Amino acid sequence: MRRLGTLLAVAAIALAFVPHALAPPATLLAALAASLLLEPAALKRAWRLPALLLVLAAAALTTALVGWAAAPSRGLAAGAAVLLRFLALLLLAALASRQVDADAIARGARRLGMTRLGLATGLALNALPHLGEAARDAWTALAVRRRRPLPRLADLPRLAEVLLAHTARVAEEAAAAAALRGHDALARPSAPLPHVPLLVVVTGRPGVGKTPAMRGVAAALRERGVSVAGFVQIPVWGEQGKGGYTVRDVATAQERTLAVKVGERRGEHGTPFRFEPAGFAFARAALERARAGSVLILDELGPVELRGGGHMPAVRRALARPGLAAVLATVRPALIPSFLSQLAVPSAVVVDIEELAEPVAALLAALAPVLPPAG
Amino acid sequence: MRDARAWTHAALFGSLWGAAEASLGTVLKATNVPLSGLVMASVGVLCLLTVRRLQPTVGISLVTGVVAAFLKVFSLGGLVLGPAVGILAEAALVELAMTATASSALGAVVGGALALAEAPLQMAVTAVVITGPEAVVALGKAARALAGWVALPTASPLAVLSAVAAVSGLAGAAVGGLSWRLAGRVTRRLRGST
Repeated sequence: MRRLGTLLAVAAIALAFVPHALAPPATLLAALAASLLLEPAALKRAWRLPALLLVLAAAALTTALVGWAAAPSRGLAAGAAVLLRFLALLLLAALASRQVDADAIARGARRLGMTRLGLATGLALNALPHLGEAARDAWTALAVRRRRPLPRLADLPRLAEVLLAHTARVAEEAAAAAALRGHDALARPSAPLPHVPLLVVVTGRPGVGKTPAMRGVAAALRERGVSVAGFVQIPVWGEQGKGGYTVRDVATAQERTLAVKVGERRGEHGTPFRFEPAGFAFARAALERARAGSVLILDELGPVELRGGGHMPAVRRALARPGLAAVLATVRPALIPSFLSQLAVPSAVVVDIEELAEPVAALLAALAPVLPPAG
Repeated sequence: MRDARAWTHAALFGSLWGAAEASLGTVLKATNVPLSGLVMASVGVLCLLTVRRLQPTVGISLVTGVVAAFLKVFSLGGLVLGPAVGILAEAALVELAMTATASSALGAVVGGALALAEAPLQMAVTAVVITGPEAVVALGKAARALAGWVALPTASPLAVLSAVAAVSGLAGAAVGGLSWRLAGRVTRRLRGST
């Protein structure tokens, strides 16, 4: 019954656009039948007195106009057609507003293979109150700054600029939050890697010692004569906690500033940090040292990389280098599914170092299949 | 690459546009402010060009328009087909212009012109669909007669419509250029704050 009702509603909409004398009554009949099958109460809601008066006025005007321009009989026919079309469209509108909601749209989008569109509309709905609040704040801030209750016309571009920039920041944060939670449904699918070296994912809660473990492994590998390339990212601690990051080339032990804390509002990519292009260039150069037989060290790949930014372009270039022995990458536990999905690798060894007494030894053991025997 | 930013930007800017349509658009329409259609079309052009400048991805303008149309239709609890179709048409025209010109300033000007010129054309098409071609012919005759009574030069309805669309298009070109400039300021603001 429900399917038949939906079909009749669609047919009514299509009939409304057919230029034939029988189309308007057929439209109304189809709309009435759809309403009776789906929701009879829609009739009462759609045809309220003010709406009916408006429709009657439009039909009367059309009758008079066409009657004057052509002939009275033609005027009556045109007026009747307008009346029937409007009545049908009002009914269909009332029906649709009750039957179609955000969930229905998402379901429909999924069925049509447009899942991302459904998710985007859901995100848009959720963002509405936030954007409204931002608009109100921007308006109030401008009024306070200008000492006027209402901004002038000349202030509108400034207001728009603030609001548009805020909207872009929220979009960045939403993408970062999705990556952080391992949601990749809104992301574009990535191309699989041409060569797949042994991939060891090092994980664990923040502060358990992932970066020191990576530095330890790099040193141990160098001692064994294994070529290492890549970088570790070392937090810089200040009086107010983590103040930024430096990036360290594991082959040369040189360092550069990568990120400086500037606060949540001024931060980049939804983080409280400002990133230095020179730091990324330095990390890129460190990755370019990788050659056949190297172990690639990546510490640490976060939400920025999982959205394709930050180190990711250089990482993908390094991973495409033929003959790499292994890749050792630090990733937070929540990001592992997204990370593996992004690289499109068939398998990986995941080492959670949180419970390990000797994390360096455990990582060397994970790399053992591709390492030369220890001298 | 897996980058969700294009979709989140389309969702958020569509949300902004849809919110503006549902609030400012409704108020302007209800209070019968002259040229409210052009004002709202300009807001749409601004949102479309800003999202395109921040995320120059093919198809992003169209997705932004679909999201805005969805919100416009359902935010007030009643299906309003006309404005939703207008939003979709505007987004499609900006998408076309920006894709053809590789997201350049020229595309912004052309897209703005097409988007604003579309508004009077859409009104005419809607009138033809709802009232029928006969009523539109009668309306043209009435307009000519009225013009004759008040001693104004008469012109065919098509010529009048073309003139209105051309003037709207010129205004749209200016709106497109200014919006592209404002979008550039937004981009610099975002980069400068990081």
